[in-house]
Amino acid sequence: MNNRLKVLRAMRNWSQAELATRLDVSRQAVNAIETGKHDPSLPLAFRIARLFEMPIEEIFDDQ
Amino acid sequence: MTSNPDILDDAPPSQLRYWGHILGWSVLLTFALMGLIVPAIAAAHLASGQGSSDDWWMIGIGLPLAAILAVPLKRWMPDFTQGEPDTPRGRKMRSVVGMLVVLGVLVAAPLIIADSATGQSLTLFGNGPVPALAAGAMIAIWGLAVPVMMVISRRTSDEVARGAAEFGALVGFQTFGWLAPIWWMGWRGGLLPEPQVMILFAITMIVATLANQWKRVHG
Repeated sequence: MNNRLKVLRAMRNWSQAELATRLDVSRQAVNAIETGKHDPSLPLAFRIARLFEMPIEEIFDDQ
Repeated sequence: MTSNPDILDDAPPSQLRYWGHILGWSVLLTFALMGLIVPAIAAAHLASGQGSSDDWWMIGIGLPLAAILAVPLKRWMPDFTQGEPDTPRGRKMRSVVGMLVVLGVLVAAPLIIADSATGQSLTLFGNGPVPALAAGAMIAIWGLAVPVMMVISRRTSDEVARGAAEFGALVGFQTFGWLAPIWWMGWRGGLLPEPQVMILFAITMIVATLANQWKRVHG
C-alpha cells in the first residue's frame, strides 16, 4: 500500500522520532510504514489520520 | 516544505549492529562479573583456612581482569535507545532489554559460583551433572523472570515489533516441528545420535531471532 506519510511529516518538519512520539509507536514502526514494509492496522491508520487532520484515503492509497 | 534536509533521509535503524552491540557488551559484563565473583569466593576459601594456591591465582587474575574490563564496559555501554524517542513505551522496552542482560548474567552466575566451589568446569549447554542448589537457583530465576518479561514485552510492543515477534515465533515453531521428528526417528533408526533438548532449544531460538530480525528489516 502506498502512503504520503513521509511527505506529510516533512511538511511539518518532523523527524521520524518526533512522529513516532506523537503516534506512540517506535521510530522503527514509522520507518516501516513510510517505506511500505508495513501496512498499519486500522486503529493506527485512524491515529495517523487524526494527527494529520486528513481522511485516511488521502494518506493511504491501495491503487 | 521542510527546512531540515536530513528529515527525509531518516535511515532505518540497524538491528544487526544494535543486537551485536548488546551481545558483545553482555559478554564483557559477564567476564567482568566473573572477575569479581570468583575472587570473592576464593577469598572466602582462604579466610576459612581451606584455601590453596589456586585461590591466590583466581584473585590475582580475576581482580585485574575486572579492573581492565571496566574501561571498555563504561566506554561502550549501550544507550539501549536505538534512535528511538524517549517515550514511556520506549523506556519500558529498553527496561526489558536491560532485564534480558541482567537475566543472562543471573542465570550464568549460579553455575559460575558452583564451578568455582567444586573446582570442575561446568558448561551451561553441556549435559553433565550440576549441583542441585545451582540448578534450583537457575530454574527459579529463569522460571520466574521469563514469563514476566514475555508479558511486559508483549504489552509494550507496538504493532510492527509484535508482528515481527509473531513471525519469528512461527518460524521457530516450524523449525522445531520439522527438525525434532527427523532427529528422533534418525536416532531410533541408528542413523543419528540421541536427540539433545538444549541443541533443539538453541537452534529454535536462533532461527526465531533471525526470522524476527529479518521481518523487522524487510517487513
